[in-house]
Amino acid sequence: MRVKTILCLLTISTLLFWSSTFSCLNALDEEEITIPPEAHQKAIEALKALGPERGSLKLTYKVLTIEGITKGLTARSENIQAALKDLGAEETETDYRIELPGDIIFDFDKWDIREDAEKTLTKVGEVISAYEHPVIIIGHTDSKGSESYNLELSKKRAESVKQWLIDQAGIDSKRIETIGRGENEPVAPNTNPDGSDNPEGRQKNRRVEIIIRKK
Amino acid sequence: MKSALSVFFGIAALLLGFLTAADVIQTQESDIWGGVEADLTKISTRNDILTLRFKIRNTGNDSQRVEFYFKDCYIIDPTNQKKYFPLKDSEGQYIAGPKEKDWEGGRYKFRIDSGSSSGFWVKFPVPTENPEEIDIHIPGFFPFEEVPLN
Repeated sequence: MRVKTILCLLTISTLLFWSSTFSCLNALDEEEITIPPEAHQKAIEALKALGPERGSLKLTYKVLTIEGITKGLTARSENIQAALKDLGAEETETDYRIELPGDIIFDFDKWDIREDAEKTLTKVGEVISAYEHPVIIIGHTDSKGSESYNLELSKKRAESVKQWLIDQAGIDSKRIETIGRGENEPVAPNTNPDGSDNPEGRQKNRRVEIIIRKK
Repeated sequence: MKSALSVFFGIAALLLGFLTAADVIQTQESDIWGGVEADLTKISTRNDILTLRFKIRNTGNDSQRVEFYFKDCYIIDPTNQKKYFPLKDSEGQYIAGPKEKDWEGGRYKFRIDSGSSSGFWVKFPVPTENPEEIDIHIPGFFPFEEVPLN
């Protein structure tokens, strides 16, 4: 009888120990995901704004009959893939990202498009034309000069690229958003650890980033 | 004595099995980031709002930069053939997080090292017809299908 009692107590204490251990581990995992307390109230307001259908879209299906244009589509797709490869584009599920060195597109401290850049921008235009979705053009500079000057320069450069694409590649202006980030998003150090200039780093930072949404 | 021990091991095994299996509703692999998987860890509903929580785990050998826009997430009510999008606040920001940037309503973009994990959450409307199951689409991952809502 006593043995049975001891065994029961041992069982209960073991179970309690393991359950608390696993609870702690799960709590640590949950700590990684923190939802701000105001999120739920915002969600309530957002839901109200959507109305009775809650922003839903009815799924419909359309069957397209494709006759005699398969070869054309394949050829076009191959051209776009070749252009993306030439541009060194990075692909995600939702967009293509192209980084163009600033020194190819613009002269020093200028925002006019160089003639040399037109071949590159033509390929960018071809890729953008293959899709119908938004495009974001982001200008970046190095850290030489004042922050405000660089911000303005980067905005002007992004606008120049946009204008070129509208004028020369026939892209709809409404598709393109431009952003100037100045020197605020470097991809390389502008200076060395000892404070001396890092021309190679600064060259990498002078760039135009083009994001082409796929859907 | 033997029967007491049998009972002990039986209960311990059941409890351990329950505890270790808890908290992952469904797991899907990434179709673009090698070794990356997403666990759907929690579904909660309150005031007709559906909150989904996920954990992204990098089971591969290489660090991966996982990136998607919250605007590209959606859920589908397959029974009633309807699609729902994440809720958006009055400033055009999706009620989801964490966000690396606010672009286009919010972007998740974080580097996840090999063996590490990172969580995210998204709020959706509860589908109007209260289906028993939904499909959940997160860019970069295979769809979470037939996820029970109740």
